[in-house]
Amino acid sequence: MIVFDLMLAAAILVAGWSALSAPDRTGAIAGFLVFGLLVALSWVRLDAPDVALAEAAIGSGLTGALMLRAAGRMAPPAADRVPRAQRAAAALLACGLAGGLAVAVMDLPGATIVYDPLVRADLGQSGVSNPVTAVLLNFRAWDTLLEMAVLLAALVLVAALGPRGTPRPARLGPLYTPFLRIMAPLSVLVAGHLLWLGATAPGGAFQAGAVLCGGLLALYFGGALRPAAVPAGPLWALCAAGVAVFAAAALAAEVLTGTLLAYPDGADKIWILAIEGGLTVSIGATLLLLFTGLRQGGARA
Amino acid sequence: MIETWLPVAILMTSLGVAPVILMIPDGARTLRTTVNLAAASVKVCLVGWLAWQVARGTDFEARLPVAPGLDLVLQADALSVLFLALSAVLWFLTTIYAVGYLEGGTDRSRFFGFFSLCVAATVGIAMSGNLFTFLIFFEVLTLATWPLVVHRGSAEAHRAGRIYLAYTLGGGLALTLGTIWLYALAGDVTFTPQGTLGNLPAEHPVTLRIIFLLLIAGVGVKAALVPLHGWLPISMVAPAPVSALLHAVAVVKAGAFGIMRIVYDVFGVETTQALGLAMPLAAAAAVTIIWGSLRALTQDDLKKRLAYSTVSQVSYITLGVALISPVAAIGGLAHLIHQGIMKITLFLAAGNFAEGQGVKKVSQMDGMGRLMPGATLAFTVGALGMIGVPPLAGFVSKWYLAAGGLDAQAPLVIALLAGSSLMNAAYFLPILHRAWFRPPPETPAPRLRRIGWMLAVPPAITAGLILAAGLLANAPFSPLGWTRFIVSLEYI
Amino acid sequence: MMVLTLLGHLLIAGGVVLLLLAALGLWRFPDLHTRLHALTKADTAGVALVALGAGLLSGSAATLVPLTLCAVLVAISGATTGHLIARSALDEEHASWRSTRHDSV
Repeated sequence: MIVFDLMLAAAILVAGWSALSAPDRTGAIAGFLVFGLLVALSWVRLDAPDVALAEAAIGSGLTGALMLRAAGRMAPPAADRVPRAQRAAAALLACGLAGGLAVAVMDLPGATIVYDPLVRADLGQSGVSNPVTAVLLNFRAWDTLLEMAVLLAALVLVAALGPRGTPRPARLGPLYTPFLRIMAPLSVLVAGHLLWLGATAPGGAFQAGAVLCGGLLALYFGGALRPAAVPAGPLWALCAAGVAVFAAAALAAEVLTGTLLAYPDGADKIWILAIEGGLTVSIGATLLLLFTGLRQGGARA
Repeated sequence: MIETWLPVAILMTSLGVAPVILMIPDGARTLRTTVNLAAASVKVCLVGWLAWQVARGTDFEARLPVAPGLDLVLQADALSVLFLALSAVLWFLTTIYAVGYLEGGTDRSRFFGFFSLCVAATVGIAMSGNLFTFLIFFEVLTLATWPLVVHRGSAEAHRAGRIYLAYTLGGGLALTLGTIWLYALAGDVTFTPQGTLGNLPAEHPVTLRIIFLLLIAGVGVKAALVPLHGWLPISMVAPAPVSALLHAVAVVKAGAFGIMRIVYDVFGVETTQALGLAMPLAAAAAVTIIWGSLRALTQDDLKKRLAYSTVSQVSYITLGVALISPVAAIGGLAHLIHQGIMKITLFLAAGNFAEGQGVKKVSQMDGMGRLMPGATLAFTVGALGMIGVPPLAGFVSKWYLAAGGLDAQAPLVIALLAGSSLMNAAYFLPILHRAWFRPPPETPAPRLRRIGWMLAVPPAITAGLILAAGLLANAPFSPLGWTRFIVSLEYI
Repeated sequence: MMVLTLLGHLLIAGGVVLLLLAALGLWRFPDLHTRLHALTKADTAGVALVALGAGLLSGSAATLVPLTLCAVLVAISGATTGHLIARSALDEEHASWRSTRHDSV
């Protein structure tokens, strides 16, 4: 396998270079997409399938989609290229930073593995058998709650800074509708499957939300879904649902057990599933609106 | 209980309010102003309470573990309170001013939302308990100010925004690298009076010098140390309240405050001197003071002249820190407040000149004292304070800095201060002369709009504060009294 | 069992050959339409063969079914995206052809 790993590493470098050296934005984004998929593969090789799934779905797929949309909205880059001296200076700075970081990391007093034994010892009480889900939604649920808040904050910022109005997607021809008829329901099914699977195997709310968002995006491109036509209030409610469910669960757990986000004994799995269900819907909606933008409640008429 | 919740509450009065304001529709002016001013007043009250508690010796700390050995820590010590009080009071006044200034403009919810976010970051910087937390809020501040700098949306504003980001994000990289390196060496960098490094300086003198350089370069961009100051005059395209916020409260002050934290609470005064780092820092501050004043002399654009004046004046703070003398430190720390209230007065008054008569250049200032007496009076008080005329605030800080120069056996500092004050006079007095002693132009430009109370009152209040800070310098809760209290903790 | 393993390996080898051909076509063919021609067909078939082969090698129906589903999904989305790319390219050519004729008249 060492040969495969070396080839993978080389391919990641090549993809990174092609993203950097592409002459136009679309080419650079294509390079970035390939780069992301290869990195996802390398996560698989590092025995971290959860991270691989998240990288492929969100890190590469959705981020790439967001970039493509941004590139479509930006004015074409100025004809004159960046001067050679400026590029060289940037490269020098980047190398200096990387070198400095390398030196700094070498001073680290050997990483201490704190979580692994802890998780192993308590996995039985977490209500799920997938250690990643156990950490995200039980042992360190507080972090995940904050992550959801960050996602919501990102949407608020996009709404505040984004351009006015959402673009109408182009007409896609007669073949697209049959495609949609298969893909849209399937994405819901797969999202549900990933959500359920999260308890025992790689999967969970973030991956499920990303797949759901893929299905919603397909609907949006087909013209079947027009977020701009929907009043902003319900959309905001949908996006805030994840944080709201999570916060409500935290408070309820506080009342029931006396500790924030410590679920009642034996009922862990139900609590986790309920929270993850809310998160999935919310993540799907938030990611979709990050892509399409949304009409603000009368503010930008 | 209160020891944990008060810092969080102070942070949330702007961090929690920012998204609410962002989501208020643009037309709902009354609602937005109410939310804004209510939050700002609550913050002023909470900070007052906090100051009282800190003076009594209560320890405040709120902690959120992020990873093993890496905590987000909010705390409040005397130095935090100094910066908190400045930002809380001036945020309140600037908000009133901005509501009046942006009357009828577009994207006001966006503006005030990011305005709040900006103050939230400033407050977070003030209350950071360790270098990691400081870094997080420092970067949040960079990103939160960008929408304000480009608020007008013109090509020029976007260009200024790009330059601003290039400088500040570049500085952020240096700061990040230095922080990671220091954490790798020391394990944890909690801000502690007289330094937190223990016996590390003896073991890694060279590495620590490099780290110091990285950290100071990182915060020095925001503190506008020459040659890292280029963004400041360019970002003058922003609306007047933003310039006031950038110069007096948030960005520049965050940089100066960072220098204080790094010298006092990370390295410690003794270590800084032992590693031979104090002298170069003082030299950088001296160069900045001279260079900023020189450039200010030749600017005809009023706001640009003020911007270069900021470059120069903020380095008084750095100088006070770098001189390694308790007396100079009192001067430098007090100047954090004094420069804030003086500069905000100047910018608010300059904003009124531009709004009321369309006057944006020094050469157009003829007769402004007759056309807009209130704003001109405030501007005069601010300018005289900057020059260091007694009994105004600027005199107090310069007096202590000069005495500190003698105390640190660096008599050159006196020459530096005298030269800088002369140049301050050289670029401020002609403006005042034009405004008061030259007749207005034969056909004065038509008045653009009436200056309502929202625009007129804030500079009047800050001008009053300049006078009070100078006259009542010896009162226990004056900026000078409070800095004496801080310095007694740092130099024992 | 032996037969299934052998069949699985053969299918994967066949799939890899098809994918290589698709890559070769993408590299060597002169314009978008010919490239699409090489890519869509060989790609879909190649992925399907690899998935089937992997399913056979695993020897369990629980693995074979999702793998087959994957192959079907790749086939559907591959065909649709190929169609969409060709369609938009055709639209652009059409537009440029019209504008050139306009200019010459």
